[in-house]
Amino acid sequence: MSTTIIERIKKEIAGLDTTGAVAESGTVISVSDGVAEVEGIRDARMMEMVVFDDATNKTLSETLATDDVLYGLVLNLEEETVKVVVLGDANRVAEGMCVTRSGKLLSIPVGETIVGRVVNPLGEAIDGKGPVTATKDMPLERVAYGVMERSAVNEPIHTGIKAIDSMIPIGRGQRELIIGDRATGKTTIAIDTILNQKYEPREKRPICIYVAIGQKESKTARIVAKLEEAGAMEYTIVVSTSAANPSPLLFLAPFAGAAIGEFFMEQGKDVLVVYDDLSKHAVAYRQMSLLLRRPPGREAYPGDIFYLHSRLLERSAKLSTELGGGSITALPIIETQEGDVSAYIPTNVISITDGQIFLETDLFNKGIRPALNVGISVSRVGSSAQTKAMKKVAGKIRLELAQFRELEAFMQFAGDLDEDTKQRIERGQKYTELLKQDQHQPLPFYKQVVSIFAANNGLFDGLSQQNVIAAVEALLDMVERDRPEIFKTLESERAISDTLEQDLVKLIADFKSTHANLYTTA
Amino acid sequence: MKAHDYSIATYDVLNSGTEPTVALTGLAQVLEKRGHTKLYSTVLRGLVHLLEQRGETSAHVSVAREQDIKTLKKEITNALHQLGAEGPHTVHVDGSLIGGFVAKYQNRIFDTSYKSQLVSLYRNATR
Repeated sequence: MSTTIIERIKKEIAGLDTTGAVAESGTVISVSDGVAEVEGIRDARMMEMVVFDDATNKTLSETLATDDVLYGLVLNLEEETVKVVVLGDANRVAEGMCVTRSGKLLSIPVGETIVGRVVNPLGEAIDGKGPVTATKDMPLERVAYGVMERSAVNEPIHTGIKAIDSMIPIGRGQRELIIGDRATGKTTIAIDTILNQKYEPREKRPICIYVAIGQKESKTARIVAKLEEAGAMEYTIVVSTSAANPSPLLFLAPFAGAAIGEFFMEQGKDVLVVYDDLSKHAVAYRQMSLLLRRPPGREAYPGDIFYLHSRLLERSAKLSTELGGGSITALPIIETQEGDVSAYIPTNVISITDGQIFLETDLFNKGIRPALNVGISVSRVGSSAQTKAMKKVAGKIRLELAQFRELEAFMQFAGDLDEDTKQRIERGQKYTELLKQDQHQPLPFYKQVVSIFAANNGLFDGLSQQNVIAAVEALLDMVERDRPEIFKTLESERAISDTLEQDLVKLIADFKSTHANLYTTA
Repeated sequence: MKAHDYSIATYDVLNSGTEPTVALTGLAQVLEKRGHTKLYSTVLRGLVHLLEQRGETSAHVSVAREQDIKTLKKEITNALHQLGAEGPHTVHVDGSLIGGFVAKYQNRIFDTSYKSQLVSLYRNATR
């Protein structure tokens, strides 16, 4: 037997309270579909945790042979009874079972050691690496910080995706919705954002929390493996509930993610939380509410479905300096059906968040990946959350793409267009090509700035659309190899000074002369 | 509420001195006559609740061994006092408790059994 286990047992024995105390207990009078009706615990509070005593009429060895303690959550307070959702295997609950109040509202044990771990919404480790050492219990339900406790969102969080960082910039403390049909790259954007944080200096690197709500376990396992491979698990926590988990755990998962985020935010740290995805969360809440016999509303969702998501997302904030200056940035994900963003849940979440990133299947199928529709995607925080360097270069790309979108319809009349229109269309196509990016290849912001600056200052002149990516990659390699101080200057100063601008212009000219093979006309 | 009305009526009948078996048989017949048989279990629960409220149910104590009734008398009395149970109580021997006792009165429980403490110790140590 290892020393660690012996020490733990000694500690538990020393802390054992043998005096006993009065606890309020009730009896299960019925259980079905994961909801137990309990009478006797009349003083139970809403969202209080209760414990099902499945040790009654069992010997000690029989009790120890079963799984861990079975918790329940009080969700309906009725005239004679309370309804409790079972947070675990409901098959273990039987009529007549004793239920004891814990006196605690639902909370999750959190500590510094939770970073790098995969946990369930109750804080239990599910990655097989032993228990998480907790230092504090964070309540899952909590009132969001008020107006006076917050400060303006003005610090960027870089996703590593050129299209987003240049035109839909996200700030620390913002809520930016990622919305699109299935298989359009929503999770990829979220994971790439997490991967990109490794380029941030350690003291400014946000803690990332990926909340998997009702996802396939194979998908979550793939994501964890990808994060581990890239070294991102050093600063990431995964809260996982699979499709096989009961709906109460799916309901609690995003709140658990928010609670863990608040633990770090209150220490003055920045946190990024990804909720993947809130559509499944809404469905789980609907299922639970129907089983609790709450009146169904539109599309059978309960009446407080908006409040469910608004109170969750309001917990993302940028705190004032007096409170430590920490932040929680939220990237909720919503899955639409056939591009219908006017459906109930999507419109709810769009109205809550500070902007949205629309992903379209058509664009994805055309090979434009990430499949962002930059025309209708927006960030309400805007350039306040951009570095000076990016602000300087992003304006032109936005304008070029806006003009390109207007002229796109005329492309079929290519033979009849004037020269200026043809050039605008060509430039738009090249910029579109520039914004394409491979999956899981986030680009640090200084490289994005150099590539967009080059595009704005003649890199595309004489270059065919097919050679855009090759030219940009070759340019970045050349800077990395011959002029690495350019990247270092951009990384530290985050602005393009006049000297740097001249350097870059000269660099582009040098590049074009040394890579003439890319500029051969078709 | 219908079931509650039946519970109050049955409680009043019991209070008037009617034998419990007679009262409950009468209740079952009335429910059947009015087509409310489905309310039977709810009515009985309500009745028990009324009896508890008015202090007419006794506390229940479970001990691990027969001799614990005497050896733990002081602790049991103290526990019953904390539970607010002043009247007589019933005692039951449950060997699975291993040691200590469990006292229940109305909707409150006082558990110092060795079984629950060992289960808690095991779960905390192996979490």
